[in-house]
Amino acid sequence: MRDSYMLYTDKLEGEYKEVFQQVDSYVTAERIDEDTQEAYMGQLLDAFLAAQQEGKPVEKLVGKDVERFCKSFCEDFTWKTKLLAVVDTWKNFAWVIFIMSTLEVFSVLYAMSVSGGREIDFWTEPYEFNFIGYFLAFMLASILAAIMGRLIRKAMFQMKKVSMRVWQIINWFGTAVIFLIMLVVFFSDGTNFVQFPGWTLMLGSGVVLLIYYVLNRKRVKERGEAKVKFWDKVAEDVAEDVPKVKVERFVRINKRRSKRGKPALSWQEYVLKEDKEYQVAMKLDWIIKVLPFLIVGGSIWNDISNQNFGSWVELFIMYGVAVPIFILWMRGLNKGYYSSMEAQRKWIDAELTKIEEFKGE
Amino acid sequence: MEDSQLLRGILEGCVLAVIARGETYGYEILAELEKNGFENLLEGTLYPVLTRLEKKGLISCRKAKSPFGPIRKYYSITEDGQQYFDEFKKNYEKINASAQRILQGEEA
Repeated sequence: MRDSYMLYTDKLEGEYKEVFQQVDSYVTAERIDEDTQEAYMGQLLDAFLAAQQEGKPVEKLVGKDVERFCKSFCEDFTWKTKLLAVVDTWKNFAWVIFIMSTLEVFSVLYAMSVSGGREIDFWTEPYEFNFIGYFLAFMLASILAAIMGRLIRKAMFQMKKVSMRVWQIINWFGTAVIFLIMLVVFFSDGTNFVQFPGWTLMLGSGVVLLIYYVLNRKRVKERGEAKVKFWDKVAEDVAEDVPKVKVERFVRINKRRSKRGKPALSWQEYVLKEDKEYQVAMKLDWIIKVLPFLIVGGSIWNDISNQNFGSWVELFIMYGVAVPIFILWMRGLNKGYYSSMEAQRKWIDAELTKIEEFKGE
Repeated sequence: MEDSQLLRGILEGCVLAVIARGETYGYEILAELEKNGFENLLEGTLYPVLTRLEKKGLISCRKAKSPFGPIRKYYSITEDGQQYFDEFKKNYEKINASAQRILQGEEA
């Protein structure tokens, strides 16, 4: 997962959020490459967040005319960044072709091994996949979606609350619809259908990808460095949310108590209650550790005792794939849980210290 | 003549001057410029300048997480940048002196 600026836009509030979304959707419709957008919008977001914290008016950052600001902001984007955006899209298409044709190559090899006398020539066996049709439809769809995006940009810009994510979804959806229409209208009747053997498509798309990664190695490396592990990000977010969540809980508990006619908890009592609950959770910590083994063990035991499998090999393969995925998933959840517990401990300690200091005064 | 035309010429030098004082980032540069009288400068005006300086090799950039979360670019001046800045300062002082003489109606 990329450590994208998009992960932090929710930290903006009110006018800051509204204006940032406007700029963001305007820039997205400009269709520049992901790295340039990340670099520019990341810096802009940082400035917005700093201004928000200082209480500096958003006007100081973008001026009175937001659209004029967006235009001047986009003037700096060169044709190269726009071309790179197209190349990046085609790279994704090349990956689809590569994966599909690789599967086809394996299926031809498999068919050859079990052909039972039918002659299959690996080098000439055609792949029933309208590569040219798909490619042309995809190209046309991307171009048309870009043009349509530009046409509706002004309307989207005026709808201040449309975030960049919504804009992206509309964009993808638009591209997909145009792609399907192109496919049905021009390429569904078998014309323009040139069949290539699977290995040529695999080789062709492989070469395209190789060229892409060699020419873009600096960008690819930078992207790799900007990656963040999904669960690390979750843990970070959870830890950051602790103070807010605790205050919300304090309000909730007291509302409930007042409904029941009980006296409201003081802040000190609430913090001590949190501390007590934390101690109990730590004592029950072993459940978290044992639970994954119980689930996997129970599932295997259930399958074996009920004979829910074709053969032992099948069972072995099934759990050989499922167990590592499950363990990774549980490790991630544990990471989120423990970082949350750690953040809670820190919060409780800090609050207890504050209370002690207050008493001392 | 618009202010922006006049500004464009000297902004690069001023941004370079702020960066020459020590490693800094976009928002801090903007705040510093604002503090020194560039009141109507916007974020969008600053980034193209920073990109140009970086492309020319006059400043270098280091990426790190900002306290707010997103990746922040920290800029510092390069050797070439320092040389360019020294030269810019000399030229600017010379032009400024000449312009002032003409504007105030003095004779050389």
